[in-house]
Amino acid sequence: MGDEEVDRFLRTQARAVVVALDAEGLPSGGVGRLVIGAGAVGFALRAEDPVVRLLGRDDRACCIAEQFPSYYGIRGVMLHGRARVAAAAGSGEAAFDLAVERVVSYDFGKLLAP
Amino acid sequence: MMRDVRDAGDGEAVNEALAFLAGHPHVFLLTRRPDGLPTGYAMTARVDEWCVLFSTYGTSAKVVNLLREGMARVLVAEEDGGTTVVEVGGPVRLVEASRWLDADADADADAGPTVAQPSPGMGPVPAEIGEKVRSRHESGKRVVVEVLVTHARRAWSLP
Repeated sequence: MGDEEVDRFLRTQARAVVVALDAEGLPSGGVGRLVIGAGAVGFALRAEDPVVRLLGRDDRACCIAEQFPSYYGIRGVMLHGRARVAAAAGSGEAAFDLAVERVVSYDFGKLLAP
Repeated sequence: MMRDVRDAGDGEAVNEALAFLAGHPHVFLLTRRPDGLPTGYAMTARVDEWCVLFSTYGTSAKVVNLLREGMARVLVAEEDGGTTVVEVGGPVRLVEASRWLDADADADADAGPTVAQPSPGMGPVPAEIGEKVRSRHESGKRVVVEVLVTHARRAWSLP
């Protein structure tokens, strides 16, 4: 997907899979909510999610938004970057801003293009 | 309702996690990139004994990353509003393509003109894609990655 397609896609998504690194350097994940602001992206997790603690120790993160209504409807965006605690969070939540360093996207519908 | 397997590492917990995964094969395969950043690939998984299997291209970045790291984790989340999330993990290796193709044959027998259904809400993979996957396994372009599950825990989700 191009930059504009990625932006439009992310604005349709609510769920975010967030991956951090544990003390052994192994990836560990949780499921939260994607937060899209003006020119910024972030995510919210349950405050007691162990991923929150992991991000406090090591800010390297991956945030994934994906939809899969059908095989050719599969679309997704992976955002890699550094997570910083956001000023505002909902009750029982921990919110992070993501300083994006790399974007990877996929759109299986484009497999049908001539 | 699955028993809470959070931070458990015993065989029963792994079994329960794998049973959940078998019913929710649309998963995220977690590893690290060469620059050290964590990453997760949306994949269709199959459970075989104590292992989770994936079919993918042998030269793909994910295979390079997985084999370099030697360990991986798999995150699987309930869909359609459910909040159950399970994470399993363990050592990674490449295994014989027959491990995947045999499961395909079983799925074909069950599903007629289509193959495995990665997600209850998604519908089956088109038959032409199943054929392409099979052909590329036979030619060696695709490989089967095995994660031997030695660890299971209940992960978290916002409602």
